[in-house]
Amino acid sequence: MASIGADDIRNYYVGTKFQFTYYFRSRRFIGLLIFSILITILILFLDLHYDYSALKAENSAAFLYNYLSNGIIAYFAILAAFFGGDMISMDLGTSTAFYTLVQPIKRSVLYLGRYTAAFLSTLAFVSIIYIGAIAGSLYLYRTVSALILPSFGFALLYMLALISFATLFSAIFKTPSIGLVVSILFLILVYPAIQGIISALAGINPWMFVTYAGEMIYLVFSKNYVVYSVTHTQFAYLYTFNPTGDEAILIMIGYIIVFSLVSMIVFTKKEIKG
Amino acid sequence: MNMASIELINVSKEFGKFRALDNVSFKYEGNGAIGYLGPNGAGKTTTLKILTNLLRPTSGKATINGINVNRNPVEAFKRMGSVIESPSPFPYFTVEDSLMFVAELRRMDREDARDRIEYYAKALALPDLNKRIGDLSKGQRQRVVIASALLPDPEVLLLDEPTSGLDPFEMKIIRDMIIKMKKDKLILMSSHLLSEVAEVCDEVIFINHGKILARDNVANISREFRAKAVIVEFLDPVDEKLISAIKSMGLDIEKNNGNSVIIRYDGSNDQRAEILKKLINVGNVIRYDSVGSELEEAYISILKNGSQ
Repeated sequence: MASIGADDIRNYYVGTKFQFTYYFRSRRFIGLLIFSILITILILFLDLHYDYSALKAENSAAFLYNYLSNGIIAYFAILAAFFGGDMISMDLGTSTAFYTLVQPIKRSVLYLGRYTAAFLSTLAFVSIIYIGAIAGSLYLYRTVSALILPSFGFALLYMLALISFATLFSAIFKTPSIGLVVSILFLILVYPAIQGIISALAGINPWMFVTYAGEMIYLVFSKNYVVYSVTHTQFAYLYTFNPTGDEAILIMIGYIIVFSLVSMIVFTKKEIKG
Repeated sequence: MNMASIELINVSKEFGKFRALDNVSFKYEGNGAIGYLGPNGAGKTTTLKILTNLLRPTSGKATINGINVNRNPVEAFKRMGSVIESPSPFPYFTVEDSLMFVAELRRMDREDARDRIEYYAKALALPDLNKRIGDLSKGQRQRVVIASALLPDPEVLLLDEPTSGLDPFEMKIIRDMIIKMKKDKLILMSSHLLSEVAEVCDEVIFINHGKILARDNVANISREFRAKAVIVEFLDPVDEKLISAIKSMGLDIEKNNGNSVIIRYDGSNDQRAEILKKLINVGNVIRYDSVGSELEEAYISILKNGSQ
């Protein structure tokens, strides 16, 4: 294993800075920024008009549970795909490789710099969503549940795991847009669908799905949620699985390590043939 | 400081069953420009990609200043600049960002980097430094990339068809820069343009089907492969009478068109002088010139022999 030197730390900083600049100026960043702000404002607007708020609940924690469980988790997946889905193919699939990969920086360090830049970019959008949640809670209840902090922590860990997962597709597919689209499809359609089938019908704990661990972002607001239950219906047994905090952390860290390592190895070893 | 060097030791590269490079070896040290010549698919870009670790050799070793590029690319890259194929910095970067990215990775002092960027902005006629890469023409982008390769003042430069896709004005800028740079750098440059190689390079390597066919300095090649045809232009149109007169002197007319004829000969200066002496007796010669360059003759001859 190659050692990490002062050069690598400095290059990591340079790589992160320039990649973040790249993301910051890209159309996708500006587009998603406008979209995030509009969505947040729309939700806040509905909250201001009490009767229209579908999120209104008995207290701040219950409101935040509703706010973060209504599609916002899926939006996190889109964010991760947009910033991780072409992280590697942006070099390997374009002539950018002839510019970046001939500079005196280890590819693994370049990967880590990009990964950090992708995370910082998504952090901006996640923060906007949480600012909206705090503002809504303050307006409706004059207080914000302290559980928003662990929820935010889970959200950040979830983003790291999702970006790691998306980078795998950017390593597999040469065309940047394909990696991006496949990441979104997996995280929004394929994963939730398979997770639903194997957990609800087959009764298997879906610990292998990062989307399952991501549920902890809103479950944290519920003090007594059921971790496992079986319901006997007329036709079949229906199983319910919810992650515990520890379980969610383990799954997310597992995703970060496994998928980042695989992506990094592919990026380091890949030859530029085209 | 070590002397600049580029060395390939028995390098082979296979893509499945296709052997792109076959036991290629060469070594150059010091300064100067080496032209790397061969037709499309000969193995030129594969060689340069191995020297920049974009590809790894199936066997053999590639070194820059004695450093194995494929084992220690970062150390090798610190000593070299390269323009392989048509690189493109990130489209949302400005010209200045693209150059500063390189400067920061190369540990250049910020002020020094800015001075050098300004120098190359003038020398290579770069577009406005605040313009985005995505808004540049191919030629402008290529000049930015060449500037990024030169910016850290590397000891070794690898250039893969550096003037490809450029207009004549841009080509001249790049050629002049290479001529200037070769005084204290070692430059390996692939090109399709034989006149360009003849103008800027001191040495040439001929490659085809992944094998080195010949290599020598340009002066030796010129001596060995003199042009073997002259074009003669007469004041009046070339008619049957004139053609008969030329043929009767034992000269070999390759073709004639309008006022001119092309005559083949053995390439020696004696026969060239003799032909001129004879021609001025049969017509009013207003132009007498070689057809093709020595390098072109060498290129055609070496490649033809190599494929037999």
